[in-house]
Amino acid sequence: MTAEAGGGASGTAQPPAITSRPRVLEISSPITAVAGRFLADAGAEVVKVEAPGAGVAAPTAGEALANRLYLDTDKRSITLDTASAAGRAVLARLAPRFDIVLESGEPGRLASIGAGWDVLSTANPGLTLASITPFGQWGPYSHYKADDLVVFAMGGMMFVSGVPELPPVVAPCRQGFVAGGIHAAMAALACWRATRLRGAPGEWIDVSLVEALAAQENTITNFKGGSDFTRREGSQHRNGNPGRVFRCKDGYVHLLIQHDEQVWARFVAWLGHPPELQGDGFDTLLARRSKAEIITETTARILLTRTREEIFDGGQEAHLPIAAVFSITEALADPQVVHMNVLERVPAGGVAGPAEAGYRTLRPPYQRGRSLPSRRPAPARGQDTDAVLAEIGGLGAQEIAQLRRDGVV
Amino acid sequence: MSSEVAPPAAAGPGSTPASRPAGRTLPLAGIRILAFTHVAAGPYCTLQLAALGAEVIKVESSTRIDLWRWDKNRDPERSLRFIDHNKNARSVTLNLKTDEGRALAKELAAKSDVVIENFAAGVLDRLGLGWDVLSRGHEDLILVHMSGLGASGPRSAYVTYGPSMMAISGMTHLWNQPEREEPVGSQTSYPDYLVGSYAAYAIVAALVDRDMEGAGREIDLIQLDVVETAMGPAVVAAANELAPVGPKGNRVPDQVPHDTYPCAGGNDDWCVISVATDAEWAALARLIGGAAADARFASAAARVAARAEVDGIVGAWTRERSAHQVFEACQAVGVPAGVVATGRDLMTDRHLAERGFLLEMEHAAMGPVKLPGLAFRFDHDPLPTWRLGPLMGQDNAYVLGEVLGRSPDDIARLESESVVK
Repeated sequence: MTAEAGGGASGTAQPPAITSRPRVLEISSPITAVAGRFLADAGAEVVKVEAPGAGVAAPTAGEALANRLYLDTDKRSITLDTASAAGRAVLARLAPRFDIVLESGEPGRLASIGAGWDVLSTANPGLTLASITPFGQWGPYSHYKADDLVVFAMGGMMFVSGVPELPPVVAPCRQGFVAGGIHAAMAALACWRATRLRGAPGEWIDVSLVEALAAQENTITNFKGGSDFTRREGSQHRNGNPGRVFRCKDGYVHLLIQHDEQVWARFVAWLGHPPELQGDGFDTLLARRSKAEIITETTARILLTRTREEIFDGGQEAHLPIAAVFSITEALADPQVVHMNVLERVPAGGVAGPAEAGYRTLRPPYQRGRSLPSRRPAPARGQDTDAVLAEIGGLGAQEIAQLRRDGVV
Repeated sequence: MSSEVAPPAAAGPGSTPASRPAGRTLPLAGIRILAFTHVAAGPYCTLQLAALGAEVIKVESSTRIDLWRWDKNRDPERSLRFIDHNKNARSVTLNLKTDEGRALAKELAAKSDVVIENFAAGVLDRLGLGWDVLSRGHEDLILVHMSGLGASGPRSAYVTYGPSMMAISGMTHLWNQPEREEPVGSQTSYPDYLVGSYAAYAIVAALVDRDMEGAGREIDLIQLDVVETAMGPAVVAAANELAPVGPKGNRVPDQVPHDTYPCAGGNDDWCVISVATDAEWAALARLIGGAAADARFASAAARVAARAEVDGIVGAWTRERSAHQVFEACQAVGVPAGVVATGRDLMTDRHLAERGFLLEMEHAAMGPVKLPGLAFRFDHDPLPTWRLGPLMGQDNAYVLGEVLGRSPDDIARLESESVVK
């Protein structure tokens, strides 16, 4: 067992090493909102700082509302005009009262508004700052601009995605931001934990979205020099044969038959021993590579005669890695997903519009099996300004009223 | 033995931040993770935890070799993807088919904070290493399973890989050009990376829970659940019927240009341009000149209405240039743009090189190798030190000797009896 305070193989009761959850300030952007989501899932108290003003109403419909509901459930929202001197002064006072600050501004921007790492860590040595940006805090591209499309392209994931006859295609739901958000949340939470357990100083974490993607998928290690790099091939997997999406009677399925000879034998039996797949040259994955065309054609022909359900359940009955291709709506209605109970109800309140009476959102996957307090509905913009400035910022009622009159909050 | 890499020299004055202050410990220092993981998702998880300072002990065996060790050359000690995904891990070879091998694994679990596994469902229990056994007298253990579809339910026993998760979750359906009917998804195993990094976050969060509640727990981290979470906004839109959910390709409703454009080098050469404001469009229009400068494209609404025309003008301009030229020219005037990077582009990228993201290291069997780093780094440690993924059993002496306190004679016996193998 380790020497850490939380450890102890004896199992005897010890006083808890940590007594409260982290308090997180999310200087709001589509990037920090994801990291804030994951920290809120871990029980952190997350406060979003949003820009004030009539022109930027909270979304009340469509995709924008779905975004807000998913990302901001459990969070509180304050508005603060960080373009004004008074707003900056409030930020510099407020931010050090948090354990973790999330920001995604252009490198140097936070310092320019008086809340850079030096200021924050001097005021609160235990504070952890996670800066999540497309290219990281330093280096030749650090001031370049990018959204998720650009990040997904620059990180190498887009080039290998899509069919050869159409342009490369980005993944759905801003996966660059998702990757950055997960990494920022894990690193920030680990740093905060160390400050609580052993009084470690807080850290400044530099998360690069492009690097988060470039570390994945062997894009770099698959480059073998010259023009030998992975190209987009639709759904065709590098080591699957068959290993792609196929059309069936009433939809689509995905098959991934790889190296295992027993799996291949079961697969051929499940197809009904088609004569095209008999004879020499099918013994190993390597040998089957030269037969890819006939394997794919034969599979395609036979699968067209079966339904998606037959293929998914029948294939799996034969222990074959075969999957139905579902839309999200179909996935949510699938008996297994229903059994998993991935969704939970959030009570009424918060942001206006069709979700005002309550809505369904995802349960945090790692909290499965735990009973958690009821979720707090995603906030209307600035809903918690007065409360947060008073309780956490220590501002007086008159001070807050003045800021409101000046349009700062 | 794997070697360590020294931080590269700064490329220019002021271009790299100060180096690491002496004596700073990484946040997860003192945490020990015992990993029964193979292929991508599990190792990608422990890789993150190792980067945060945890000690990762990977249990493997020559009797059941990690598939990730079989790269193209059929030599388990010459797999680039293995030495990449298992950076900083220690390797102990235990033959879990022997009683004593399983007993050693159990002893190691008793000295670990976290056990993580991605065996098929039920295998850990059959090895006598299930939660009931491992948590006895070790109530603060965190045991993480990474099952595909969960431990119960009508389809829980189904065999799934990363691409299957993509298909079942709805991601394959969404990851497509809207004009194409057949769902494409991606040839990648992207869900494995999502699950791996999410599992690392989940373990950090579970350590916090342990430190607050004084007890560990068994976590059934369902891979499908993680993939749905990565598409959270679309799931919430579908579950509450807020908006139609379907493939969108590279376009968004309110921005033009916002797409992938062809470049001079043919099908290996693509760029992306994403104009968010009218000011960015004005800058791009000045760069392109000609028809782009037409005042009728000045507003976003007008460009959205004339999407095909604007995209045509932009595409005609990009076609005359390499993606790198488009990228640098656009960024120089503040227009978000990028190269649709190939593996070669990443490997030769000046930014990634200068940031020390591209690790140039020396491997015992392969010689010089170049690998990617990770998503995060610390201000105090901008160029972290890495060890390459281990040779098989490289750390047997450390793990059996120092962690479990076995004598050299005993270790020799374990080897001769094929318990350590």
